[in-house]
Formats: sequence, structure tokens, C-alpha cells
Amino acid sequence: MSSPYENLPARAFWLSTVGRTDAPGLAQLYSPKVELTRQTPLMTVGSCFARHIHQALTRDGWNVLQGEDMLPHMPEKLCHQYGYNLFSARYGNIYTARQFRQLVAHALDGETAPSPVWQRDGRYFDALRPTVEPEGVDHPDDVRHARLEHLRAVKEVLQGAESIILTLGLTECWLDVATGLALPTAPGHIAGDYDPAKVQFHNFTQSEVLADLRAARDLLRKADIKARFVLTVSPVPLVATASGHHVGPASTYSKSVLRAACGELQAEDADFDYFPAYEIVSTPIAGGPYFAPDGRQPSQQGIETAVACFALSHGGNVPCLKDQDRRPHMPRSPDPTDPQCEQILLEAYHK
Amino acid sequence: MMRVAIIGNSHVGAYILAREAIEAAFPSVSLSFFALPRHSFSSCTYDERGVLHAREATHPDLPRQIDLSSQEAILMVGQSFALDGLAQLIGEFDMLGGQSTGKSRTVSGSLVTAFLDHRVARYCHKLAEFLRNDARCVVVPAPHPATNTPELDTGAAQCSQHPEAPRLLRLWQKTVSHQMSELRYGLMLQPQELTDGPAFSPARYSRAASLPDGQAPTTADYTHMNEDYGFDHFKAFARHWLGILPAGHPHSPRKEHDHGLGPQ
Repeated sequence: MSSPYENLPARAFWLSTVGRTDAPGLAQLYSPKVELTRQTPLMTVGSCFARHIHQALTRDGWNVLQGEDMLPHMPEKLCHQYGYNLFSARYGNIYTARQFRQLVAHALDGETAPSPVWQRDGRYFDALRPTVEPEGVDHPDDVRHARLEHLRAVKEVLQGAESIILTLGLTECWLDVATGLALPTAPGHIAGDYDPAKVQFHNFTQSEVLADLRAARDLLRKADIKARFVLTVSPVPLVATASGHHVGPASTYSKSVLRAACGELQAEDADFDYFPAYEIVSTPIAGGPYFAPDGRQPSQQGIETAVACFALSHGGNVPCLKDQDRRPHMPRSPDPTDPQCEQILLEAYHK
Repeated sequence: MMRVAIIGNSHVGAYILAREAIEAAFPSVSLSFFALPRHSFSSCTYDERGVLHAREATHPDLPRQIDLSSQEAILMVGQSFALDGLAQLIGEFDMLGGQSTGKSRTVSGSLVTAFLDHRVARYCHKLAEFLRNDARCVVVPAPHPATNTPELDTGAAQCSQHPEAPRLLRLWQKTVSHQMSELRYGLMLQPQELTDGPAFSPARYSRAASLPDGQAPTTADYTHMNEDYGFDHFKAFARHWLGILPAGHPHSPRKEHDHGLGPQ
């Protein structure tokens, strides 16, 4: 008697594979469609979990593109406070597939891209990335200027990337009624005023997520941009839901829809692959779950395990993420007056 | 005698050149000088006896140490207070909402403010550690470059020559004043009568203005001041911080303060 499960590899069986944290065990968690090396230009984008991926891959020496680098000028903490060097460009959190599609469209549109502005205490904020200027800016024109500058950088990153590592975080979203734009947060949190007549809540379905991701890919191809996608789903549960349900089941709905969309694209579309960061952090498949004591954020060990799996699956070595500082340091610019300064002192002493 | 040490970097030169004039005008004052090797705090050790030593080889003609224990006042001159960092930043970015200099990227005013807060605080922390926050010490930022400085793409001159210089330097001074208010050291910003607008020193005070005929000035001759500046600056220091006027006229700092002329 034969069985379809005969001769399947060990990774097909829970008991023989789940919980392994050794290198071969991690390597078999993911079979990439396209081989990446540490030299492959990568773009990182997505929800807050994408920040962890961005930083871990950068520290591990992957060629993570940086379109709006500020690290040569400022300490990392200050860069992050102003939205720099969290992802491949300064777009803030891109939680939904719709936001990503919108970002691609705006980057390719350039000058004609919309630039909605929120206000708070006489300061002005980019409604599509309200966290990148925590104090806001002086004038609405400054928002638009900074936005166009940002979109130019995003376009360059898209053009340079061979692989876009997109972490999907949410299905819940607030849409601007007048423009249809997907907002990263409801107005009234960071800036702007909440007016139920002007924004409406929307919880994306799987078919909508699929349509947005495919549309984003089509926009790129139309612009002759060849990058493929590596999708991940953030294991970070919703902080709050506007769906009317308990936040727990609402989180499961969101993650399930996103995970199912990723699975469908991985199965059917050569341009999309899925990397199981969600499973690595939130299930026991690689020795987890790996959550910080708050039960919500991934632990450092979880992030390191996910990046180790990514590297090993692509035939690389186990990354060493500790004690490495690969960021470019602010170079001390040569001061043309330096050699002359000592001469000035000597002259003074010898007068 | 009132013993005053003038320490710092190459900007000490202006006071050394003015020494004779200063000691003639202030007969109660005795000056001594010391320049830190490489202009670096880490190049010196301030020992428990109050002697400041160079930890590394200096030019044989420069002093290797100075005893600060017996000084009534210490004037630490030529301090950059991270202005070089600001210059590097505006060398690559325009100010959002400000006048364009053709850079492809901008930074917001609030980011520049946060950047300066961080850099100046770090600078002041090093300053405080250097002389153990000794209250005898008055710290002086490097003078603004002279109005006739040729166009430079580094350092303080780059800040002064930037179209947003008034706004940037006002912000920098405000940050320096705020951070220094946390220390026991005094802070003496460049007196208004020794400036030409918010970003420059008068050309007549530059070393370039005092060079012998036929000697071509270097860029440093526009950012370093001459004997006249050394004298006038010391005079302002003596009036505000030592309470004395030239020719030894005693003057109360309290009286100055009451007339709105207190330490800056």
C-alpha cells in the first residue's frame, strides 16, 4: 500500500522538523524561488516589523538600499525619531497592501502625486507619513516639498531594487473619503481632526489585498522596474481594532487574510514569494514563539532567528548580528585650516 | 596680581600677540597661555594638583603644561561647540522652507534643532569633564570668521556664508547658551561690538588684515583674529567677568548686572 506522504522530505512532518533551531533545520523552513546574495539590492518596506527586518539585514551585511540615508550625519536614535533609516526610504510604516500600491503609484507619478496635509497646533504634517516629522513643519508648502523629495528617493530605490521585502501588517485602514487615499493612521492621533464624514473605516478582504499587490507589481512593470517581491506578514498583533470585534480575533482575521493572500501569490505568481517570518516568531516551528515580555513585540532572538533562516535559506552563513556596526559613520571633513593653525600659534609665541 | 590663564586652541594666538598691550592696560593681571595639542580635550590630562598636561608630543616651542591651580580665572577660547557638525549638515542639505542652495535634499528646522541639541550637549559634556566643571572657567566660542573671508566649504565659515546664516547661528547660539547654563562654567558669546552682523567679525580684526606687506593670507588668516581682537576681547572679558577696566579701574560686575550689562 502506498501513501502520498511516502518519500516526502523531513520538513513535511511536524514531529521531525518543528522546533529545530540548528542551521539545517532553519535552512529548510524556506525554499526561495529566486536565490539572493548579500550583494543583491534589497528594498525593505512595510509595517513596524519591517523595521526589525531592515535593521537585522543591514547589520548582517545585506545590500539593503537606503534612499534617504541620514546615519552619516546623526546618531541612529535621532535618525529613527525623524523616520530616517528605519526602512529603505523615509515612508514611515506602510501597514496595508493598499498603502504600498499607493506609494508605488505616487513615486512613479512624481510631481502630480497628491499631498494631503494635516495640522496640529499651527504645525503641518504629511498625512501619508505623519510620524516622520514629530514636530511638524512650518508651512503646508514645506510638506509638499518634502514629499516630492521623498518620492524621488522612493523611485530611485524602486529602480535599484532587485527584491522588495514587503511586510504586510494590517487589513484595517482609514480611507480619506474625498480622495480615496489609504491613511496610515486615523486623523486625530498624531495630527489632523477626526471627522466621520471625511474618513471611513475599511477592513480589506483577501481579494482586495491580492488586487492591490498585483496592481503594485503591474505599475512597476509598466515603468520597466523589474524587482520581484518577498512578502512577509508581521507577527505583531493589532494594537487596537475599529472593527467592533475583540482585538484578539480581529488580529487573527487580519493576519489570516494577509497570510492567505501571500500564500496564493506564492503559489500562483512567479513575481511573489513568501518568507515565513510570521511563523518563525509566532509559532514553535523554529523554537519559538519569540515575543518580548509584553507579549506583542517580537523578541530580539526571534528577529535573529528569522534573519538566520533567511540567510541560510539563500545558502549563506549563520549571520552574526551582535557587535557589528556597519553603519557609515559621519566622516570628519578635512579642515583646510588645520595645518595653518599650529603655525598661527607658533608665530604668536615667537613674536 | 590677578592670574588669568588663557587656554584653548590656535585662537589663543590672538591673546598671546596682545599680551603686552593687555598687561600694560591691566597692570594687576598676569597672563599665562596653553594650547591643547590637536585642539583635542583627550590630548590633555588635568591632574589632581590642578596641572593641565599635554599627553602627547607637542611642537617643541609650545608649552607642555600649565598650572591652573593658582589662577583666579581661566579663559578657554576658540571652542567650536559643534558648529563644524552644523556646517557638514548644511553642506549636504538645504533647510526645508529656507533659501535653496541647490542641494537635492532638505532637512527640517526641527531636525536641525534636535541635531544641535544632541551635538552641543555632547560637546558641553566633554567640556564639563575636561576641567571638572571648574567655576573659574569662562568658555568662549571661536570668533565668527571675518567679513572678507573667501568662500569656504568647511567649518564655521560655511555656516556664516550660508544664506540661512542668521537663522542657523541664532539657533546655534540659543542651543549653546541653554546647554552651557547647565554647567558651572561661564559662557562668553562674541560681544556685539566685536561682530559685524550675526555671522561675521569685522575684517579689521582678522589676521589677514595685519599681515606684513607682501604676505599672502591663508584661509586660516580669515578665521583667526589678530592682536587688536585679542586685546578688545580680553577687555570685554575683564569688564564683564573680572570686574576691571583698562588701567586698573575697578568695576563691580554686580553694578554692571544692575545696569543690564551682566555676564552674557
